[in-house]
Amino acid sequence: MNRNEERAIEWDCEQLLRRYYNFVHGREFSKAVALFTPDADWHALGVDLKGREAILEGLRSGFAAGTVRHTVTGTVVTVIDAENAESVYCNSVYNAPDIRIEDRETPIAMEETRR
Amino acid sequence: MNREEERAIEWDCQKTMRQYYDYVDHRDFDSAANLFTEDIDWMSHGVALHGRKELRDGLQAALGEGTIRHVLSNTVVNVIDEDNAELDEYHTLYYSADQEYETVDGPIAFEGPHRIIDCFAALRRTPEGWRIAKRRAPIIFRHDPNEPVRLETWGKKEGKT
Amino acid sequence: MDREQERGIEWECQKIMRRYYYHVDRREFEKAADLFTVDVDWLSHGVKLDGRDELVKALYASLGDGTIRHVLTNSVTTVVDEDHAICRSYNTLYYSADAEYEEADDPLALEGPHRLLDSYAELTRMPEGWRISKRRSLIVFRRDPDEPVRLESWGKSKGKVPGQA
Repeated sequence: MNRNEERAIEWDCEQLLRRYYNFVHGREFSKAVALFTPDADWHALGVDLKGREAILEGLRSGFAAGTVRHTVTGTVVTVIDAENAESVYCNSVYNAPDIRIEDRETPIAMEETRR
Repeated sequence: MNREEERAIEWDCQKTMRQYYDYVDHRDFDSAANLFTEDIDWMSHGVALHGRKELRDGLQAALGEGTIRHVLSNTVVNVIDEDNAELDEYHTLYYSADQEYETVDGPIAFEGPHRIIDCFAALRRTPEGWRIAKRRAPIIFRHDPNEPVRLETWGKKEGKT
Repeated sequence: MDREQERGIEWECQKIMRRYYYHVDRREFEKAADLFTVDVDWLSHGVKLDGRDELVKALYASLGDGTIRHVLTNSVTTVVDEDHAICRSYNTLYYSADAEYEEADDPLALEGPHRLLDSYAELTRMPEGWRISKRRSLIVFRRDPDEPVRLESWGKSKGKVPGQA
């Protein structure tokens, strides 16, 4: 594989990660989950989930009732081969678990978030 | 259009947005405004601006004083066709209304993010490169929700809200 | 050089910057320093370092203890020519001077960002890939401006602060 081909994979993987979080933030959980393989293996915040259905349920219970923004930064993608890649990145999370921004006329105060 | 051509557009659009904030944060408002189309349709903080000149005036009024850093993340570009794209991003704002980083002695003290904003932009390919034709930026989280920033005060005074 | 070649360089340079902070934040200081040219010209937090060896020493001294995360954003790379580029970015730092994330049972308490920096880097294409040859940073916002961080104290003790008495 040449560097051009690797770059294309790196870019596509980075965009995939960003799209995932954008769907989560917009509460489009089915679209978010569709970005996982059917047998996805997910571990975050001490929670282990296996497969799309479990992840969908986890996202709904975690984020349906509130407003969250994951700011995704520092993404480094390492291409393993034409069909596999790994990525690392940093997330800064702003979360108001009980407040939906659509129900507000004004923004959510920072003091109301958990970071 | 193949995926390689799309990637090139995605990259160029992302670069335009990053360049915009670099210019704005360093008070190069002319260069910042030139990254928009002449007929830009811009809405942020409840202020609606049309055209580069209004945008330039708005930027000067809002950010000519104080210090701001727009920390840009989560950029996703969707290519519509060869000449049109849409872009979603977040920016986390760090802000001081009263101190200018160029003249203050040492760093400016801060407590954390001032605002977190969802941003949508429509971009168009022009002879000068990709330019922002439309922008919408609702504030999601905000420090001091009852304290308007200069853009809001100026917008109200100029009848732009 | 056409735009496609430029895009390739922009991507590579951005990736070098991201890899650097990845290694630094995980205390892989030799790997981090390997992303610089041997003769790197480095100035940050008022501390001037020349060369990779000095940089490694400084990284151990300043970030061997505590926990830091450099949140890198807004990278804009300008290609100068085939072998040179400039990258401007922002760095939002989250920092704990006293706790190491590897040892903590739980996540570290977070008060918010510690510093926000404008970052400037010049990169040069070398046989081993793009490398950072010059680095400058300006702290724009800072929590606790009167509390020096370890890099500043170390730099002062080693005479690496230009203009210090």
